[in-house]
Amino acid sequence: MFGRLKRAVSDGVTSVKDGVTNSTSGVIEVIEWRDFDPKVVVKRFPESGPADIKFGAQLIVRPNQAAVFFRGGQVLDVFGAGTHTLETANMPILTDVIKHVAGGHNVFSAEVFFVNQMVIDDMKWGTPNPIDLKDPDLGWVQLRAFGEFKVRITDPKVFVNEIVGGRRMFSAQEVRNFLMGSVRTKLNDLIGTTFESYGKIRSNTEDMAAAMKIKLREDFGKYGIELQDFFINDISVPEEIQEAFRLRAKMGALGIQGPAAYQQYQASNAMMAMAQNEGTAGGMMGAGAGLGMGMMFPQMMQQNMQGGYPQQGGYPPQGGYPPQGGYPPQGGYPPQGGYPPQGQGGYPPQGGYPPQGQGGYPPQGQGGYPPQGGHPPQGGHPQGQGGQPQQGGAPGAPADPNAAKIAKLQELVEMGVLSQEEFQAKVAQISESAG
Amino acid sequence: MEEVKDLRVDNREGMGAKLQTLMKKIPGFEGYLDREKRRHADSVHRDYLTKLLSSKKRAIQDIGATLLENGGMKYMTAVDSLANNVDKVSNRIRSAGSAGGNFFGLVDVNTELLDRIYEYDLALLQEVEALDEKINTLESAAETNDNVKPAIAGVKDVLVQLDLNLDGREKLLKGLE
Repeated sequence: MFGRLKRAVSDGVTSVKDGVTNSTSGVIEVIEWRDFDPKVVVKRFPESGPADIKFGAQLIVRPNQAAVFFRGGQVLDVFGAGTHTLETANMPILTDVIKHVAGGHNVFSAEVFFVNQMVIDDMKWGTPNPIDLKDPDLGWVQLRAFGEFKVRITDPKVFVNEIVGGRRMFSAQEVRNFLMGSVRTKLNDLIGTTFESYGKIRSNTEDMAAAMKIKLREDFGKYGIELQDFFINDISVPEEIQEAFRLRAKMGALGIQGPAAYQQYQASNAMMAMAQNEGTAGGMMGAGAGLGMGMMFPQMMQQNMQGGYPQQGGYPPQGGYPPQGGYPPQGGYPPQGGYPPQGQGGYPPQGGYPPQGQGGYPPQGQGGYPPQGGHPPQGGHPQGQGGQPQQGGAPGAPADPNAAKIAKLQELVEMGVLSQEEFQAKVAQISESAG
Repeated sequence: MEEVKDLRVDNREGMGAKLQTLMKKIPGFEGYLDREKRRHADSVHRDYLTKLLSSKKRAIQDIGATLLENGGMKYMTAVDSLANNVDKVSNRIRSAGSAGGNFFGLVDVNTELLDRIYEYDLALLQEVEALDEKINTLESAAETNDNVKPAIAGVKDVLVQLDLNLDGREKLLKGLE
C-alpha cells in the first residue's frame, strides 16, 4: 500500500488505483492505513519518511486506530477514529509548528504513524531462568513459569514517542520483547515477596495473575500500554520435585504417614519385591537396593547383627517373632496343607533351627562360621575357605527362604505397613509357591 | 416526517429537569434539543462517562496495589474482576453508537422517548458518580485489610446496576421497550 504511495509520490503519478492516497505532483491528499494487519502495532505513513501533505487532505482513521502526526522528532497532533480534513482548526500543534516553516504554503511536511489500538493478544511469556523459592518443605526450589498476556495501546502519542521513534513499523512481537523484562522482574518480585511455599503458589495462580496485572500496570502504562489480561498457564518445579509430590500423595493414599513414612514406604516396596521374587539373587539384590534407599535395611541388619550371629536366643527371637496374638493368626496360619510344607523338613526344620545337614547352618568347612576374625570378616566378605557358605543360603538369612520372607512380612505388619489380611494373602501366596 | 420529529424533539418544556441536570453536569453537553446537535451531545456524554470510568478503574487498581502490599493476595481476583467490569461498562458506553444517528435512526424519537433516554443517561451518570463513594469505602477497607469483601461487593453492585441501565437504554433506542 505504502509502496504504491511511494511510487506515486516519486513518479508524480496523479492517482493511485486502489491505493490509500491520491497524489498530485507528489503531494499527499489522502492518508489511510488500509492493509491493516493485527500483528502490526504501528505503521508509518509514508514508509519512506516525511512527505509533503496538502492542507485540506483527508485523513481516514479506522475504528481502533489512532493517527499520530510526527515531525522533526516531535509528536504533534493525534487523531482518533473518523474521517478528518486536515486543516488548521483540527491541527493546532502542527499548524503552530509549520506556519513558521511553510511560509504560507498550503503544503506541509510530516509523517503519520498509524497506531493499532485493538487488543494485542497471544503474547507469550516465560522464565528462561528459574526463579528461586525457599520452600518450608522442599528447601530451595527452582520454579519455572509460562503464560500469556494481552495489551492495548491506550496512549498512542506516548507509545510512538517513547518506543517507536523513527521506525517505519513496529510489530506485536517487538512490543512483547520490549515488555518481557518487566514481566520477569515483577514475577520474581511477586513470588519472592508474597508466597511462602510452592504449594501456595500452585493454589493461587489466579490471584497471582491478577496481582501481576496490578504490578505491571505502571511499568506498561508509562509507555502508553495497558495490560488487559495476564494469564499464568503453569508454574512448575523440576521433575524430581514433582516426583516427590507424587510419592507423597501415594504414601498418603496408602495411609503411610509420619516422619519415617518414606523409609516405611521404601521398606515395604523392597520387601514386597523380595517376596515376589522367590528369593532369586536378582530379587534379593533389588530388594536390598530398595531397602538401602529407605535406610531400613541397614537398621534391620544392624539389629540382626547385634548380639552376634547366629542371634542369641535363637530364632525366632524371644518376645519377638511370632508376636503375641499376632502371628500365626488364629485359624489362619499355617494353612491346612500349606505352610510349613510337610515332608520337606519344613519350618522349623526337623532337628530344630538352625537346620542341620549338608551345607546347613552354621556352614561346615574350614574355619566355619562365623569366620575367624569375627563378623563382618576382615577384608570384606569371606570368599571360599571358611567363608560364605555355598549351600544353605546367604549368611544372615535363615536357611529357609520362605521363612525369611514371612518374617519380613511380619515385620511389615508390626510396622503397620501391611494389614493382617494382606499378610495372610502373602503368606498363602508363598505357601502355594513353596508347596 | 423530519419536521414532525423535530417539532416533537424541540419541545423544550417536555425536557424538564433531567436535561437541565445533564447540561449542568457535563461540560460541553448541549442536549438533544436540536437534531443536528444530537450526535455531538451524545458523543460528549459518552466521552465524559468513559473518562470518568477510566479514572474509577485506575482508582480500583490503586486499591488493588494497596491490598497486595497489605497481604491481601486473596482479594486480587475480585479486585481485578471489578476493574474488568469497569472496562466492560466503559466499552459498552464507548461502542454504544451515536444516539443522534444510529439508534435514533431506528425509531421515531418523540419527546416522551427522549425524556426516557435522558432518564437513563442521567441514571448512568449518577451511578458512575456513585461509584466514588463505594470506591472510597473499598479504599478505607484496603488500608486496614478489614471488611474488604463487603466493600468489593458494594462496588460490584453499582457496576451491575450500570450494566442493567445500559441494557435498558439500548432496548429503548432499539424500540424494544
